[in-house]
Amino acid sequence: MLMIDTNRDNHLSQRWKKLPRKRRLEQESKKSYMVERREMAKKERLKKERKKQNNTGKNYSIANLPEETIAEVLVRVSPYSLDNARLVCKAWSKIILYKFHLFKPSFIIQEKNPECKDGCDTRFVMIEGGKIRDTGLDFPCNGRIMASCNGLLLIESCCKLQVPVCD
Amino acid sequence: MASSSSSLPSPSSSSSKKFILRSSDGKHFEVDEAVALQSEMIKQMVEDGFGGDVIPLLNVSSIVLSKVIDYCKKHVELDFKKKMDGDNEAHEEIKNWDSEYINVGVDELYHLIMAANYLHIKGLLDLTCQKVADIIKGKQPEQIRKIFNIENDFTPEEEQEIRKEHSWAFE
Repeated sequence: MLMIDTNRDNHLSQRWKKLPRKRRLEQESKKSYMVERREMAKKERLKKERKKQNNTGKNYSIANLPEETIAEVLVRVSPYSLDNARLVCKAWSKIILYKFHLFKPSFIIQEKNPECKDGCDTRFVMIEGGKIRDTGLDFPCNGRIMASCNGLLLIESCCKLQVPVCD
Repeated sequence: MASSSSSLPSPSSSSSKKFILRSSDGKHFEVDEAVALQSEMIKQMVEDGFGGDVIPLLNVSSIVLSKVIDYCKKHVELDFKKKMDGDNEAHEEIKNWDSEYINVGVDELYHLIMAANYLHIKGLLDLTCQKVADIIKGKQPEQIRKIFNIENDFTPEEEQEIRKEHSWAFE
C-alpha cells in the first residue's frame, strides 16, 4: 500500500513538474479558489441551519403569536401587571399603547371571576388625580358618561348600566 | 360517497354523524359531529357545504389535535351533563377539569392557543389566553421575558423613558 501510494505521489509530482510554470500557477490559484468557495458554501449552509434552528425555537414562543391573540391575552391582565407587560418588548408595548387606550382618562376591564357563573366581571378603572383608581362594580349612580373605549360609551343612569354603541 | 365511507374506519356503532379530522402530519381522528362542531371553523365549513368525509387541518399537528379533541369531547359531555343535572354541579366539574387540562408548559400552551385560534374554539381560546394572563400577573418584565423566551428589544434609554412615562399613574 505504502509503495503504491508513494509511487502515485511521485508520478503525480512528476506530471506536475512537467507543466509549464504559468499553467501551474493558474491551476494552483484555481484550486485555492475552489477550496475557498467550498468553505464559504459550507459556512453559509451552517449559518442558514443555525438561523433556521433559532427561528423554529423562537416560533414556538408566546411572543410570536399574532398581534390580535397577544391582545386577547393582555386584555385579561390586570392594569398593574399590564404596566410591567408594557416593558417586556416593543411589540407588547405597542399593542398595549394602541389597543388599550391606556392614555384615555378611563377604561373598562373584563376579568374572569372564579365565583361568577358566566365567568366575566366588568370592572371600571379610571385615572383620577394622576392615579389609577379601580372603582370595581359599585360606582355611584349619577347618570353621566363614565367612560369611552373603542367607540363604546359607558353611561350610568340610576343603578342601571346602559352601554350604547357610538361610531 | 358510499365507497369512500366504507373504506374509512367507523368502530363506533353510535348513530350520530362522524367526522374525520386529518392533522398536518397526516393522522386521522374520528370524532362525533357535536365534538367537531365545537370548532366554529369546522362548523362554518360544514355550513358552507364542505361535503368531504375527511376535514384537513393543515395547521394542527396530531399531538396538538388530540389534545384539542380531548377538550372538545369533555366539553360536549359536560354541556350535556349541565343540561341534565342542573348548572352548579356541572359548572364546578368544568372548572376543575379545565384547570387540570391547562396545567401545561409554555410551549404546549403556545400550540394550544394557535390551534384554538385557527379552529375558532372560543372556550379553549379563553382558557389558554387566561392561563397566559395568569402567568404574566404580578411578574416583573425580566421574569416575563425569561418565561416566554422574549428578547428585550428596548435600549436602556427607551426602557427608562417608558418607566418614567407611566410611573406616576401607579404611585
